[in-house]
Amino acid sequence: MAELSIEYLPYEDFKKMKPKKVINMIRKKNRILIIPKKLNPKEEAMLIEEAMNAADIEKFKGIEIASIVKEEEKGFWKFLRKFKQDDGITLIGNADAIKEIKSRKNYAILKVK
Amino acid sequence: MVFKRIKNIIKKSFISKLFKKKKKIKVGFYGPPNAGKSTLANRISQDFTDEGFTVASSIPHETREVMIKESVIIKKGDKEVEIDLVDTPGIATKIDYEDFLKHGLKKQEAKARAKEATKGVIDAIKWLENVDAVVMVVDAAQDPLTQVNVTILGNLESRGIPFIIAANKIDLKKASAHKIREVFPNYEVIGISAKTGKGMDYFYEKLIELVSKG
Repeated sequence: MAELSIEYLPYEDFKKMKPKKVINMIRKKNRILIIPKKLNPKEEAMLIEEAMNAADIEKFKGIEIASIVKEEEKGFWKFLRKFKQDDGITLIGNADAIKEIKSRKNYAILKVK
Repeated sequence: MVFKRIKNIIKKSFISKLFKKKKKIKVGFYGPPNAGKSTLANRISQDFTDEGFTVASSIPHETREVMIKESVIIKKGDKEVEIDLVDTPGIATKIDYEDFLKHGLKKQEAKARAKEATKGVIDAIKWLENVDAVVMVVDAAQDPLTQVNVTILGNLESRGIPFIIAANKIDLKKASAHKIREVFPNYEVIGISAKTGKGMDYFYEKLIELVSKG
């Protein structure tokens, strides 16, 4: 059975790191990074871009990324508003090890390969 | 000081506004793979220029590079706008060549497609800097609450790019534009079928409105 390690990455440390370094952390080991903040859309896009830059057909397919946010009111608009407030947790994992991360209000479903 | 005032007057002048209205707007078609971006871009091109310009298929990541059709004039009633259609590759967080094998591609073909698709995702993200307005295409038969959709919409909002959501494939039985509206209640969601043409009249009205903002 493949091992999966979960690593806490403070947002302040994440901010100081280049996207390439973040992707390398996930790529080299089967890690799931937990960042105690909802990333902003540009940060998410940069990570996706870097993951695609680092993608290797055989060895690295990309990432799974999702955020858990506390939803107090109904509707996705509120959900997005919560996103904007940087309230939440971000999970980033290696897509070779994780099949899917689905975020729902207050929790996430993680499917491991 | 005087120079600044003159500059401001020119900025607000009729001539300036006239040129501003004449400006061609680059409309990007964004969304996850297989949402129907190319089918929609092709339909628009077909409806207003009598020719398609991009290839659409059921295999994911058919569009692996940004395709542009320049100077398409969209007419609806007495309104008319000139746009460049920018069909972008589907945005994904991962690309697995084995997914293409399921669609009948040979291993080498699948690997080549996967490699090109990764570059396509990067191009699509980079092109967010160049588009003036966006049609976000989502598959109305699928769960819209995905990280890719959230990331794209978040980027459009934070970059101040005007957009509408095309809830595509409403010709399918399990599709529901209503569900997309429920998930994105504050956005303009238009139910369409780019394949059959259903809902396209209203879509063109909204597209003209969008371009006027862009």
